Amino acid sequence: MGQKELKDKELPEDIREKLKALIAELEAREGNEIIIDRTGPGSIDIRISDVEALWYVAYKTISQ
Amino acid sequence: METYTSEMTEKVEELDNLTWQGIQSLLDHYAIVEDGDHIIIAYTPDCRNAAAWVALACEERGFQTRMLFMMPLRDKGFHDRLQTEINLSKKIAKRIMLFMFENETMSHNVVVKKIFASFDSNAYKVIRGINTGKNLFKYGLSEHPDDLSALNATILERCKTATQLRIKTENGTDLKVQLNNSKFKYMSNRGVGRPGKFIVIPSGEVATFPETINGTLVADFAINVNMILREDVRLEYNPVTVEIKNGKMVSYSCQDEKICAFLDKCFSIENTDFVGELGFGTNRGVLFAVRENSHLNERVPGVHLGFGQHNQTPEAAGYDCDIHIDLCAIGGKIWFDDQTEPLDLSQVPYSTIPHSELVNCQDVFSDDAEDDCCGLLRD
Repeated sequence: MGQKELKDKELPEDIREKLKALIAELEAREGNEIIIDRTGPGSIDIRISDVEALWYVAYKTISQ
Repeated sequence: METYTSEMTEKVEELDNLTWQGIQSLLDHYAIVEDGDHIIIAYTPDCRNAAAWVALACEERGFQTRMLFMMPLRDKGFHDRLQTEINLSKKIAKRIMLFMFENETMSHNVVVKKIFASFDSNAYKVIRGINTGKNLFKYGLSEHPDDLSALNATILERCKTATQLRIKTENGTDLKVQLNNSKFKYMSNRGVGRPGKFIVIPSGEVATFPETINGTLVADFAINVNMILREDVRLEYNPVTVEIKNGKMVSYSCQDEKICAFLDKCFSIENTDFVGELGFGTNRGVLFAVRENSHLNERVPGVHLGFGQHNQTPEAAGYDCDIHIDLCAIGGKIWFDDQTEPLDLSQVPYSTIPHSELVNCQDVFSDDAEDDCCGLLRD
């Protein structure tokens, strides 16, 4: 498929509807790809070893 | 195993026209998408919305786009899922364009490198976004890579022929720096892709390691740190003043109690008192500091010092450290050796000489693990 000419590249009028549909599709698909522990609205538990990931090691260090 | 509850939720941000324009800039000037590209977008949950924006922008252009979910840092299934997508794409694509969008992390670097190891370096392109969201697209991508290259080239040309720098800002920064250009390498992040190398966005920075540095830094723009930091990182009304002697922080102060408490914890960690990075932001699209801990803030035209982790080999720098704390000042001027005319960091002229290909074109977040001074790419 060829790349369309988008001279003005303005935000398409129907973008919000498309976004809503795509995000719903992604959320549904994510549940099939990996087990996510959703502990509440908007929060996710990340299970990692405390020595595996610098980011969280650092986070732990700084939180103590 | 331990469990951390992270705020890894997607930010609910409205897609507006300026953000859309930034996404177009990403596709036109950074990715330089072409007919025949097959686009894969990998994203973490906190960037789902932003990933969807880019997917729709690609689809508006007629590209078929595949979306791939990934957990940050640790995702045992990601290799197989990405490999499956790549296998499907390489049968039909002239080139595979992989976007990876994350917010606070840069994950699975080794996975991506392994999967593309057998590819011709022109048959794929990888663009990695950190702090992905509205601000990245809206402000971070408004400057074109060609312009960033020309600005970075100017700073590199001046620094690489100098041994002494004097750096001053209006709010009181006054630093004396000795460079050692035969020992310490430079990083230049400019959003320009090289075959086989990743592009890291946001772009716009030149950095090196100072042989010695003394004086005062008044960080009046923002903090950026490779740790979880939920506080407001802006320093406009509460600058951090750091006294530096022989390449090490000897004292610091800030009127904001929360920032001070955070810095107390940071600087209590071994080797975080070393100045590990002398950086100059060059992205003129960064007009103001954003509230959240973000690389956008260190791209502001100005000077910043990174304390702790450095951008060199441990042998060259002489120490190692996992923590990297950038303290950023906006604007400023650099005097090179005995030259009387300074370089104004807020008005750097574009170089007419092409950017050197010998300088590492990534930044401290290089895709080369040995150059990964901030540790985000370790896998």
